[in-house]
Amino acid sequence: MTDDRSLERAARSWLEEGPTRAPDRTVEHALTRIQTTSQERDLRIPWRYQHMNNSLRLALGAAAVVVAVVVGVTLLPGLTGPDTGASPSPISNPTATPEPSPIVLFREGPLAAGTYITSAIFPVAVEVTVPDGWGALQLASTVTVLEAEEAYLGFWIVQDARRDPCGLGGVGDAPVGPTAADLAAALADAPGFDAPDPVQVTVGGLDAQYVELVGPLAACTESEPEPELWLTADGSCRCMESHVERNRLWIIDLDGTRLVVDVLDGGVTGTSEAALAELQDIIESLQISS
Amino acid sequence: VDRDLVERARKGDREAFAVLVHQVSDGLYAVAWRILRDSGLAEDALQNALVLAWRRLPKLRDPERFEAWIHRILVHACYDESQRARSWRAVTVLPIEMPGAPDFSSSIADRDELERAFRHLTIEQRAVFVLHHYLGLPLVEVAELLGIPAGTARSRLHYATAGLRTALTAVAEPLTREGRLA
Repeated sequence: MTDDRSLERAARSWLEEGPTRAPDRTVEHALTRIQTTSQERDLRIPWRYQHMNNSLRLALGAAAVVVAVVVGVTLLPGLTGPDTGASPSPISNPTATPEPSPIVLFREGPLAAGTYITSAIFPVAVEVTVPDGWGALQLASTVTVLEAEEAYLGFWIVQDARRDPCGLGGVGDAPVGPTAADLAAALADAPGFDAPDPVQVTVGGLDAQYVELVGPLAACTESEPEPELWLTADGSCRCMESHVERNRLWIIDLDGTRLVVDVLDGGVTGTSEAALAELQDIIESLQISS
Repeated sequence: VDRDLVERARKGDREAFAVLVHQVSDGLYAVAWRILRDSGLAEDALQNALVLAWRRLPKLRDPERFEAWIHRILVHACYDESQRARSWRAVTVLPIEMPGAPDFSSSIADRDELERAFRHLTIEQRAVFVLHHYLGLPLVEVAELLGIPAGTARSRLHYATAGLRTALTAVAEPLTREGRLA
């Protein structure tokens, strides 16, 4: 018998001693808390439609509806206006009106080329001009998404970042500070990503902190492989796919509300020059106000 | 654990989750108590872990991994409780090789010393030690459950074992080891 073996035997025997039944009151307290606790939903970016069939598109649409129900937001009035049919045409047709840049509300589904503004349920007014080939999704009251075949652009109202994107959040993960700079610093420091320090830039006519993240460099765990970058006030998480991508983030402070303009363009895995130029035009078209 | 219950709970079914809670709570509490060695802290850790598991359940990709996943949450809740309590001392790294150390039988003195020495381990070392020796998980599974590299799990177990061995040796050889863990 070796020393280690006798030690392990003694330790195992010692570990066997102790309670094996959870106190009923503890379990009941937990269940009571759960009655008033909402579940978190991670919003997987519905990007790269060329890899998705139509049924998956429908499933993503359904998932977005589920998210909306979970966060307790009534989306339809803000999204559809008086015309609730399946037609993808916007409320105003940019080619049929005399104004050069008519503004219409975001709607679920494909968008005609034109200038759009976020719906009334979104806390920040973001005006953006898109070419043909883009679609919109209102994933939650705090998340509006534009996407095309090779790119994604999201507008997020962020409450907090995950200091450890592979951590569990809420356990040993202290909240980041309240400013755009705090959020930018936390994202740039996130383990598992490559990121230079944030820089001050201008976007949409406003000062912004710019962070460029490349990652994730590895999956987290088998059960929860995708790292989480941030959380909105209604419990929506920005969840990263497990393959390496380039994420460009502009973080803007609007009287205490932090808007993140989140651009995913596959800069690492390859995006066409045309798509990148199109994205750049869209970013330069942004006009933002609280 | 019933996969169907996990699926239902993932979709927001609180009754299904309550059934799961009753199935796993005893085992989770036993692990939390052994890591924390304190009933109050273990109860808080269990309660917080169950609530966090409910919140995060939609993120669980594979319902088959529910038990490992909720154990990971529990261990992190134990870390949190340990930090909150601020009553533990991190152990200094102790010598590994102790030639001529005595056979560790299960004397009461040894058990008292095990208890004392265990409390001097870091919370991370304790977690690995309990998952490996109490739950009987192989180290690679411990590493996966905790989301750490296998080498880190091995290292934590190594230092935990060394710490306990040193403590017991100190009891067996009071003249030569006296004061080592003071």
